[in-house]
This record gives sequence, structure tokens and C-alpha cells, in this order.
Amino acid sequence: MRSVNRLALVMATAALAACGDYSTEDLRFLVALPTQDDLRVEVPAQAGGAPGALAACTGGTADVWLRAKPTSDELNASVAFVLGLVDTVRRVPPSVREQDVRGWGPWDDERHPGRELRVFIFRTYPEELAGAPRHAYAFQARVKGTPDDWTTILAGTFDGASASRGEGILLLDFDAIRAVGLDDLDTPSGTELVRYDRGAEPVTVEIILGHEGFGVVDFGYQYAGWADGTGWFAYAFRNPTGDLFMVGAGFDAAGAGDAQIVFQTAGGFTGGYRHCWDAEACLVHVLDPGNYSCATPPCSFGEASACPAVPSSPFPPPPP
Amino acid sequence: MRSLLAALLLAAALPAAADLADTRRFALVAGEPDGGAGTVRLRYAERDALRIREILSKVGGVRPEDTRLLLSAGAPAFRRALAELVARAADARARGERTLLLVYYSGHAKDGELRLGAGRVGMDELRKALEDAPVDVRIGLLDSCRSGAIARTKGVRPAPTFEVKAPAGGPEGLVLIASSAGDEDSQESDAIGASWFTHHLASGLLGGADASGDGKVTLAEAYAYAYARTVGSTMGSAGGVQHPVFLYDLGGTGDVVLADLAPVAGGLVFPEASEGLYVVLDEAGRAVAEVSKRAGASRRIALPPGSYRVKRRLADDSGLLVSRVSVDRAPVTIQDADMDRVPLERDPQKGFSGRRTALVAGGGAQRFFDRAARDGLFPPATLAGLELAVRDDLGRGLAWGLDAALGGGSGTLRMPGVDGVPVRFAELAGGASLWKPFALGRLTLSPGVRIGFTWLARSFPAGEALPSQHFFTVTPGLTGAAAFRLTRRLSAIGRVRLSYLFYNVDENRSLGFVDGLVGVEYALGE
Repeated sequence: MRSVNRLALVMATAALAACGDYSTEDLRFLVALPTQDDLRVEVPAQAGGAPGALAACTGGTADVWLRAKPTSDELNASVAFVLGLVDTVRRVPPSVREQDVRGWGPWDDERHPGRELRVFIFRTYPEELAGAPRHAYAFQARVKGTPDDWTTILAGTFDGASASRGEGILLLDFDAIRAVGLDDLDTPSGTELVRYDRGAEPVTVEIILGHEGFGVVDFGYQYAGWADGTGWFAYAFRNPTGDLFMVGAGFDAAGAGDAQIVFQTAGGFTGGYRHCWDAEACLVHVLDPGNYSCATPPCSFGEASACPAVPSSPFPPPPP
Repeated sequence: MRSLLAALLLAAALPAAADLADTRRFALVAGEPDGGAGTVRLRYAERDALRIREILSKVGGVRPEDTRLLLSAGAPAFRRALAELVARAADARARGERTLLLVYYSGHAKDGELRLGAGRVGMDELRKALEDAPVDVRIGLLDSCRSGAIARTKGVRPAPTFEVKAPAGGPEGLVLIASSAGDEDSQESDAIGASWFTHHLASGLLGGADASGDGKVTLAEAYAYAYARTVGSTMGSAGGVQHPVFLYDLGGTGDVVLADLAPVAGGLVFPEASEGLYVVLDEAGRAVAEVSKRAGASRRIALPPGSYRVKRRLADDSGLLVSRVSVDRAPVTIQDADMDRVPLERDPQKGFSGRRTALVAGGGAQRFFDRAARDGLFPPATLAGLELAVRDDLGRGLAWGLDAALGGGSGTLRMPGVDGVPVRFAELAGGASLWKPFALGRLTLSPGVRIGFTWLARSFPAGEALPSQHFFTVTPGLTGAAAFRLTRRLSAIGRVRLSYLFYNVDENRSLGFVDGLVGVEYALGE
């Protein structure tokens, strides 16, 4: 018995002398959280040129496609806002360590005095994932001094061991952020839902904005990217007169593409047409029987065979 | 006693000694701790040789180019050096210079042979070499067991039966001085960190033996002093009383001056009134000189600049007189009245020759035994380290050390279902060890224990978006080293440590790891 006591004493002494945050389990939780790279929408940089700034095109420039890059940049910015919250837990060690739980905080929010935040990540192993883990996480905030009045501002789940190799969904609730007083002047309202799947090709990211914000219109944005540089991007924007354009564009690695465009004027009129363009963003084929896309009819020109081979949408069609 | 009397008579009978500058002096100084199979390695033979070489250089009038110092060099090197010096001395003599050849040896001897490692040099051989050497004065100083045998071979009579011839010209002939009689052991002392005979001979040459007070230490004075002090020091020793002997077959006029204190202006002066045994200690507490004097003539000890402590034990054993002095270029007078009286237990003299310090530098690797720990927590690392090793400080044969090492590595962190994550790993480790060295010839094995600390950190490439992590813990363990002595100061060393690490972040785990180091050890202040 004495030797057992001695051993216990030695272990206790060693435990007291040991300290640090050197935890591989912590890392397993952290790799389940998405990073900016995991959720990035990437369209060719060529699509960022200003309309008319490109070399003269005999058939005109693909102005609709040239809105794709700015739109993707703004979407990425909105994701960066979400991930800014997520990154907080990468900077500090967890305050709660249990078998399948990690917790951080509460800590004071530096930018919003009187508010504090906490984060929990729970890990389970559902049967349908065949041994792979599912991580569910929640970022919560409250006004300091209001016990048990935590509001969830960001919640998500992820299936898989690593965000770079699985699928997940997260929801940022801007209305909840406003309610708890964590909002800034540019904070939009509504929600932002991000769904991503990096488990197989193509990598897909869906960003559904409930309200306009971050410079983009409320829309269900969809992006799919293949390893060879081809992709598919569904996006929306408004022109200066307020007409809404919704675009589903496939593109190849060089930036040539084929898009179906649907528009809705401010007065409620809707229509559509098809654009195909080359790597220089010069239109090579326009199918526009209604002559909506040009000032001088006929707007249609070229052959469909001039359109580049591009991927089609991997996303299921929206319910009727 | 007869030898002492003879030496005293000799010292009194000889005319005034000639100056050192009159004679070109050559010296072969050898320290050989290893006596081959069946002998115990001597601890201080090399230090004795170094000390004598230093004294001969400073006050013995021997030029550096005329000195050969052999440390653990073996018999062939001894013979070569002796032959070379004999030849050089003969050349000098042929040019008309007066010459003196001194051979000093500290080491093992047995059955009429000097034992230099695995080699042997017969005392007959050495004596004949000295007898035949075409040098005016040949002196053999042997500090080894039964070395007195050299003085009784071939029918030559040992002192006190000597004969002094007095032809014209300086002294000529052969003098052999041995540290012990032919049937006695010569003893080393841990208290002084030297053999008794050499210690007293050295003290005498530094001025302790200058009974005449003329600033010169003659052969006879040195022998008389070393004899008296060696007998006195070994009187109560377990090894028995040690009687140095000498054979004095010297003709010509005047005695041989072994040391002239004049070139060393600094030192300690014990005035006429001083009486007793004064021990001079260096900063490490090691005895570097002694003065045993009676009231009467003052006595000066030549010492190089430095800080020293002088102690004298009171006659009634009620305490010590201790004084701290700083020696520069002028002599410092030691007055009993200026010394502090301290209890005996505050004796500043360190036992076991004082502590010995060494630095170890090397590089190595570390590896955890558990594979999961290697893959998931602590990948193998390479380390570079420094260690301060202190021997004979806590007790005889014990050593302690402080070590620090810095290292790291890179690898791949493996987690279930996740692609391998590149990781960089850094480590800072340190600790204190206690070990016991076991000398086996030139090889020393040192098992011991260690209590250490380890600070570990890992970081990940920026793209991984994972935070850096660190861990600190205490790591007790065992240590073992093997050191092979290359030179007097330098050893090659290999060390293995087995350490325990308690990991408690993810879960409580007891882990073990091994680290190995190869490097060099450099002895300081030997």
C-alpha cells in the first residue's frame, strides 16, 4: 500500500509540474472547423475586367460574365466575416476538455464592450457516417451579467474528420447578432447559410443570403470547382437601373464560358438569353430571341458550336 | 632519518651555489597514471608532472624549448624524448655550455621497472642512460612506488653515504632522488590533490625549502625539505611512512641550484617571526604550496599572480588562522596577527583535491518509445547540448552536472481520417544530474540519475490554420555515459538518458523517451 501511495504521490507531483496546451485532440476538433480556403469561391481572374476595358471584341464583351469575379470576391468577404468568428477559437486554448467536447470562453468581445462569447464543439460518431465523426458547433453571445441567457449567433455541423475532406453547413444569424449587440454599421440583417462539400469532386459551396449585404444581393449562390480549373457558378446582381440578373455560368480553366441568364426588371418583367464567350471574354455566340441583351437587334449571332465545353451544374434543380 | 641528516649535512657542506643562468638546463617531465594490467589508475600523476613542469619553467631556469612534457605518452615516447634531450644537451656541452639534464617521472613502478601504460622502462636502463649521458649534471626525480630501487642497483650506495669531491669547476655527476624506499609505496593524497612527495618537492622549489633565505633552492635544500615533509605527512597514513631516498654522486664545487625565486617577483613572504606549517590554497581550495618554518629567517614562496588563501593550524588544534591574499608582482607578507581565526570546521581547504570542472558539448537525438506518441505528439528530434560537470564536489567519486539542450525537428502529424499535417517541433531541455564515474583505464563509465525539465512546442504551416502548442513538464530519469580520454583535457563522450514524461493534456499518460548524445568533454582548470 505504501508503494501505491508513493506512486500516487509521484504522479501527483508530475501532474502539478506538467502544464501546457499541447493537445492533438484539440487539433482534431479544430481541423473540423472550416477555413477561408475551404469555403472559397474561385472564378478566373479574367472575369474581373471592367466592361469595355478588354480588347475590342467584334461581337461585344460578355458583360454579364465580367460581374462574376466581383461577385465572388464579395461572397468571399462575407464568408471571411463568418470565419473571423471561427478563427477566434484557433487563437486560444480551450477552457473545457472532455472526451468529445471542447469549449472556449467565455471571453469578452473586445470590439463590443459588455458582451462576451463562448464556443462549444461536440463530437459524435453517427452510424450513417461509418465511423467518421460529426462535429456540431455553436458560437454563443450574451450581455455580460445575464446568466444563462446565451444566444446562438453561429451554428454548424461538419461530417468528416477534416473540413478539407468532408461536408458541412453553418448558419450565421445576423438578426441574433443585432439582438445581442454585437453588430456593426455594415452588419446585414437576416441570415447567411453556407453549405460546403469537399468530400469529392467537384468541391461545392453554397451561400444563401437571406438579405442583401456585403455588396451582393440576397440569392442562393452556388459554386462548384473541379481540380482541372473548370467550374460552375450561379450568381446574381443588379444593374444600375435595378434590374436583377441571375446567372448560371459554366467556365473552363481559361475563363471561356457558357451562361444562361435570367433577368427580372424592376417592374417585374422577366426574360432570358444565352451567352458564350471565349478566354478573352469576347462573345462568340448569343442566343437571344427576345433581343433583350443588345440595343440593336438582332442580338443573336454565331453558332452554338462556338461555345466552349464547360461543366454543367452539379447541384440538384430547385424544387418547383 | 639518515637520509635527512645526510641532506642537511650536504647542504651545509657545499659551497655557495652557482646561478641558474650559468647552466643550460634540459628537462624531461613525465606523468603516467596508467600502470598497465593489475594497477590502479593514479589520480594525480599527470597533475604532478604539470606542476613540476610549471615550476621548472618559472623558477627552474628551463627554457620551454628545452622541456619535454609527456602525459600518458607511454614507454617509447619516454625513451625517444630522453634520447633527444641527451643529444641536445650533449650538443650544448660540446659548444662549451655547462649542462644539466633533469628527468622527472610520476607514475607506477614495480619490480625495478617504471610502468608507462603497457610499456616498461627498467630503472637500470634509466639510470644507465643518465650515467652515460654526456651532460655535466644529471638528475633523476622519481615519484613512484618502490622507486628507491633505482638508488640501490648496481651496488651504488644510497645516501647518507655519499662523497663530495671538490675539484675545480661546477658540480658534475649524477643525482637520483626517489619518493620512497625500495620496499615502500609512494602515496597520493586526495586532500592535497597530488602525491605527497611531489607536493612537498614542489612546495620546496617554490621557496618553502629555501632554508638559507638566499632566494635560491638547491638540490640539497629541496631534498631535505621534501624528505622531512613527506615523512611527516605520511606518518599516520594507512600506507605507512614513506621515506624518500637519494643517491648523490656529484663532484665539482658548489651545489646544484634547482630553483631561483628571483625571476618571480611576486609571492608570499613569511617573516622571521612566523612559525608553523602554512598551507597556501588556490581559489578552488587546492593546496598549491606549503611552508614549514621555524622562527628565524624569513621565507618567500614564489607564486604567480592570483588570489590565494593561506591557512595555519593552531598548535593547540583550537582553530585555524586564515588569510585571503591577492598576489600580483610584489611580495605579500603574511603576518599571523592579520589572519582571521576560524573554527576547524571552516577549513577552506577542499578535500579530494577540490572540485574539478568540465564542459561537455555535443549533439544527439531523442525518440519516444511509444509509436502513437511519436506520430501524434512528440516526433523524433535532434538536439545540441551543453553540460557543466563538476566532480569531487559533493564527495569523492561523485559528480554532478547541469545540462541544457536545444533542438527540434519536423515531421508529419497523423490524426485519424485527416491527411498528414506537416509539423515543426522545438524543444528546450535542461536538468541536473548526479552520477558516479568508474575509471577503466582511459575509459570512464558513469551511471547516474537526473531530474530534468522539458519544454516542447510545435507549430504548423500557416495554411493549416492550426495554433502553435507547447508543453512543459519535469522529466526524471537515468543517465549513463562512457567517456574515452583522448588527451589530458579532452575526452570523447557518449551518453544515453532514459527519461519519464507525464503527459496530462489530452489524457493522463506515462511516456518514456530516450535521448543519446555524442560529443566532447573538456576539463577546465586541471
